[in-house]
Amino acid sequence: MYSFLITLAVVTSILYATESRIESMGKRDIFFRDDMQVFKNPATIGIFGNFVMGTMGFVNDAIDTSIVPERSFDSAMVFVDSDNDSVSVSVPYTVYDTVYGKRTDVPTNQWFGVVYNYQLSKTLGVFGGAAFNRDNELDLFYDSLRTVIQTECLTKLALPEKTAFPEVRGKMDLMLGAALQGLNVGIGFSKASQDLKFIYDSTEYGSDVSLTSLSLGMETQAGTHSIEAYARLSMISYSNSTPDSAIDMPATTDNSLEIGARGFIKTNLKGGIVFVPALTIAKNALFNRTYSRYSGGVGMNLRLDGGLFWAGLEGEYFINTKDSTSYDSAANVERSGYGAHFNFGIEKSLIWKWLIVRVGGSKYIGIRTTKSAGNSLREWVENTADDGSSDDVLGFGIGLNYQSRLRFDITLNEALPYFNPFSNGLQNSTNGAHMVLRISSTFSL
Amino acid sequence: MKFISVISIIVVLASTSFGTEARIESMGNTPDFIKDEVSAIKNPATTFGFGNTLLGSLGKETKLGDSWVRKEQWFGGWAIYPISPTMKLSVGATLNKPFETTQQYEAVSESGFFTVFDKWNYSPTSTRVNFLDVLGMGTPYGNVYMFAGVSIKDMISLALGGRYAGYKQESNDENKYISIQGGNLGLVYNILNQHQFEASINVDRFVFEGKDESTSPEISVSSSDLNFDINARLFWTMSRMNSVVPMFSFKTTNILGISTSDVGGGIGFNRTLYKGLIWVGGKYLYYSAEFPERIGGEAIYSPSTNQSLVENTKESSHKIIASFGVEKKMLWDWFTIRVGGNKVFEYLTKTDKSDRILEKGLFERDVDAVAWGVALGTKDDALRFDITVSEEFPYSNIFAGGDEGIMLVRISAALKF
Repeated sequence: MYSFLITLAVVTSILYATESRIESMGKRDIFFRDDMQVFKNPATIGIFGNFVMGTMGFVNDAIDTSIVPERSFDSAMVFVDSDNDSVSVSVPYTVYDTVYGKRTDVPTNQWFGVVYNYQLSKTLGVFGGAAFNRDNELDLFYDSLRTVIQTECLTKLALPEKTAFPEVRGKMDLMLGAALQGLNVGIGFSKASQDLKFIYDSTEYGSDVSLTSLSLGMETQAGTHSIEAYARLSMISYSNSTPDSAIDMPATTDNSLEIGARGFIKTNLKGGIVFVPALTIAKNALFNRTYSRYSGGVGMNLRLDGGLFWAGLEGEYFINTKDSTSYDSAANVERSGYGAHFNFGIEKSLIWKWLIVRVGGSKYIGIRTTKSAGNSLREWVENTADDGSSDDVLGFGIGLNYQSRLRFDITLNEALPYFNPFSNGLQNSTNGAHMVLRISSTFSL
Repeated sequence: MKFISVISIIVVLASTSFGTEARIESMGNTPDFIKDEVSAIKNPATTFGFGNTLLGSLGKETKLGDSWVRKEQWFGGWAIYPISPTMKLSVGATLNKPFETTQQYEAVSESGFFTVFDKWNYSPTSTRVNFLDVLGMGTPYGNVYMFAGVSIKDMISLALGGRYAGYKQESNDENKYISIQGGNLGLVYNILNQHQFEASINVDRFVFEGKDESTSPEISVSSSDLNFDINARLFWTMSRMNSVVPMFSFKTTNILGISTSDVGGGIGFNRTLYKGLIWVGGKYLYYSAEFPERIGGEAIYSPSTNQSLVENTKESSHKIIASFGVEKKMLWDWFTIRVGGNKVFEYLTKTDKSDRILEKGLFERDVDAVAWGVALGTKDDALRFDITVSEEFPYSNIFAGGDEGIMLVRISAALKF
C-alpha cells in the first residue's frame, strides 16, 4: 500500500499536462477544448475544474530539423537576403515549442502546475492557478530571436559570449479569476527574466532581460452555447552594454498584443455537432522585428462514444518586418503572405476503456512574398510533410486513462510502427531515434 | 537498357491506377474489381456507398540514401447528409494526397529522363545534367481535392470534384511555375437495387513554365498538357455472396512531351467469405507511348553511361494482367490477414520515328508480384488500420527482421462515423 502511494506521489509530482493530446490529434486546439487553454484564457479555469498538470518535456532529434526560428515551410528556401529569421507566424493555439524549431536530444520544456476552483456561495466562485518552468509563447519567441541577435553581435565585435542576450530564468505563470452566474473572468500573469553583468577593465557591462505577460479573459454561457474572449499584452524589456558602445542597446521595451475570441455553438445535428467560429489577431515585436498575423475560421467538434472528432478551416494573413539597425546593417526585409489551414483530429477509446488512440492532420498552403533591397520573391509554401515538429502534416499518439481522473498523454514518433523495436529501433528514421516524443499528464482533483 | 528502365519507372507509375493504399496494395495491387474507400479519389459518387468516413495514411517508408523517409502522408474524408427522405448530399476532401499527375511529374523529374548537355556548368563532375535540376523546379504543393455529390432515392448518385496542386517561385529574373488543375465527374447507378454501375471521368491540365534569365544561356520552357481517364465498371450481383465485375478503362497522360495511353477492359469475380473476401480478375490493355527528343530546345541524352542522344521513340504493347486478392479475419475479430498477387504479361514493340523496330518481344517491367498485409480494427470495421507488411520480415529473426529493421511499409486507416 505504501509503495503504491509512494509511486503515485512520485508520478503525480512529475507528469501532468496535455500538450501531447493536442499535438497528436490535429496540432491545434483552437476548435476544441483542452486543459492547456487555461494559459491562453485564464477564465476557462472556471469550466475545466480542478487538476494538476505537467509534462516530462519533448524531444525532437529529427535528422533534418535544425535550430532556426524559421517556420518549417516546404519552400524554395531561396532568400533574397541572407537572413532567414522569419519567426513562426501561425503557431498552434497553445503548443509552440516544437513549432519554434527547437531541436533537442533530451527532454526539454519540463514543467508542472495546478488550477483550483473554490465556491464561495451558490452564485460566486473564485479560482486560481500556477505553473512553473513552462516555456510559454513569449519565452520561445524571445529565445528564437536572441540566438539571432547573439550571432549578429558576436560576429561584429568578437566579444565574450556572455555579452549577448542570455536565456531567461524563473519562468512562472499565475492565474486568478471569478465565476459569477455563468460568467467566468480571469487574469493571468507570467514572468521570466535575467540580469547578467560582468566586469571588464574595471567597468560593469552586461544585459538584462525581462519578459512579462498580462492577460485578461472571459467565458460566458448562453443556454448550451459558450463564448470565450481574451487579450494578452506582453512586454519584453531589455538593455545591453558592451565595451564597444557601437552595439549598446539602451533600455527598451517592445510590446506585443494578442486578441482572440471563439464561440461554441451547440446544435442537434448528427447527435450534437458543436460549431466553433474563431478569430485571432496578434502582433509580436522584438529587437528590430515585428510579426503580425490575422486569422479566422470555423471548426466543428463532435463527441463520439469514448472519444472526440474535430475539424476546422482557418484563413490567415501575416506580415513580418525586419529593419536595419546599428548592429545589423542588412537591408530591410518584409515578408508577408496569406493562406489557409485545414486540421482535423480524432481520439477514441479502443479495445480497453483505459486506452485512447489519437490521430490528427494539419495542412497549410499559402503564398508568401519576400521583399528586400528592391528585389522580391513570391512563392507558394506549405507545411513540411514530416519533420517531427508540431507543424508537420500528421501526428499520432495514445492516452492512458485511469478512471477519467489520471491521464497520461503520449505523442509517438510517427515512424514508430514501421520499425522493428528489437532490431535497430528507429536509428534509420528521418523522424529521429526516439519512440516517444512527448509525455504529458493531468490529474483531476 | 538503363534508359529503358527509366522509361519503365515512368510508365509503371503512369499506368498504376489509384490503388496506393495499404489494403489495395496488400491484396492484388489493383482496385478495379473490389469496393474500397479509395475509389472516391477517382469517382466521388461512390462515397454514398461507404457512409461518413475519415481516411488517411501515415505514409509509405521509402529508402533515401542511408535513411528511411515516409512519403505520401495524407488525410481526408467525407460526410453524407440527408436533406429529405429521398435525397442525400455528400461533401468531402482529401489533403496532401499526391495526384496521379503529381506523382508522374515527380517520377519524370527524379528519373533523370531529361538529361541534357551541361551548357551552364551546373555539374562540376559531369558534362550531362538533369535539365529540371538546372531549372531548379520544385514539386507541386497542395494536392487539394474537394468534391460534392447528390444521391436520389439511393438509386442514382452523381458527384463532381475539383483538384489543384501547384508550385510557384517568382523573382526579378526567374519565373518557375507548375499548375495541375483538374476535376472529375462520377456516377453510380443502382440497377434493380441489386447491381451497381459506376462510371467516372477525370481530367487534369498540367501547365509547366520555367524561365531563368540569371543563367547563361538563359532557360525558357513552357508546356501545357491535358491528362484524362475514363473508367466504368459494373458490380453484377449473382447471389448473396458472389459478384461479377466487368470493367473498362481508358487513360492518357501527357507530361512535358512524354505521352502514354492505356485502353482496355477486363472481368473480375469476387466472393464474400465468412469474415472475408476473395477476388480474382484479368484485364487486357493496349498501351502506347511516345517520348520526346528535346526539352526547352536542348537535345535529350540517355542518362546511362553511354550518354547517347535520345531519339523520338515510340512504344506499343499488349498487356494481360492477372491478379487476385484475399482478406480474412483470423483468430480474433479485430485481426485481418491479406495477401494478393499481380502479374503483368506484356508484349512490347519499340520503334524509332521512322517506324523501324528497335525491340520486340515479351517485356517485364518492375512490378512486384506478391504482397501481403494485415488490418487491425474494431469488430464492426468502423475503425480499421490497414498495414502493408515488409515482404522480407517473415524470413528473418523476429527480433531483428525486416529490411534494416523496417517491419511495415505502409499504414493507412479508415474510420466510419
